[in-house]
Amino acid sequence: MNIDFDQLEKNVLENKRRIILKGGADLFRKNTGRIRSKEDLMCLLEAGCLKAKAYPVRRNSKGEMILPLLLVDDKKDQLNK
Amino acid sequence: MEAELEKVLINCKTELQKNALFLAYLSREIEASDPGKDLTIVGGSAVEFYTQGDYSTKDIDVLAPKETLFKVLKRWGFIPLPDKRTWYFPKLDIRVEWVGRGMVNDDIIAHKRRELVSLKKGLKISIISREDIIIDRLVCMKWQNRTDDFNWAVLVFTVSNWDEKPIDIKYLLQRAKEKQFDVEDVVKKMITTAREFQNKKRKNENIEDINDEYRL
Repeated sequence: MNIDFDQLEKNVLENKRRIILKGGADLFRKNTGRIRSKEDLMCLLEAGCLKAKAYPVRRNSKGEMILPLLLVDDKKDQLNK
Repeated sequence: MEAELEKVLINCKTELQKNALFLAYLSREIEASDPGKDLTIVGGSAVEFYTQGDYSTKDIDVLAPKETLFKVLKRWGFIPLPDKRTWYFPKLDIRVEWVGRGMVNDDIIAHKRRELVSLKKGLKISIISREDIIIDRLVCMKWQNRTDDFNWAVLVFTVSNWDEKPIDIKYLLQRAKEKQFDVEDVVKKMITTAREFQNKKRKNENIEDINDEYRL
């Protein structure tokens, strides 16, 4: 799958943020994680930053990390009850 | 794998969550089967978790007591692959690679710096620290010529800005200088690249506006 990074960056500037927020991850998965140029890297960083801002890391009182996108849905996880 | 656990994993919304949950149950099983021993996530999966990205590394690299790990995976229905260190569960497409039994980088300090990530009460995973995974990626880049790993290191470094516990630059540089790693030059380059991106970003007010809208 060929990724048009120029278009992707343009999309960000055009406020199509969902594309990069969700697409950032899909992009690199489908592209088998290859980052071929500095522009690719900037794009990855952009997606990573958007995600990090949208789902910021928290810490509990023990200093343990809480990564929002990894949190388990209690309703679905019946095993741990 | 127990049918209930399999069902829970199948219901996960993302690969990332599925892998994290699987590893939390695997860790718990290892600790219960072999008291005093535990499991640590290293390699590409550590990058995935820190960046909360579905970058889908093929294998989940773990440090764990070999015999116990293999025993649990076998009991759960995993199939050993010919390399004798990777186990595969086709139905869920989970591949676990045992990369060692010991400490992170065979080093007590790195081992103690591991991050505990809480998925919910009583369910945790242990991951190599951000500083040590950055060093690990940069070692791969410099000495194994895996250029992509430089970029993953920049990403981990950059997204750590959103954690209240900042990256320990002093520790990072100190480790980088050590003879066994010898990556001080690439660590400095990585920091420069990350700052270059941040400076570029600050100039673009549009992007900042977008980010602000996405704060939870």
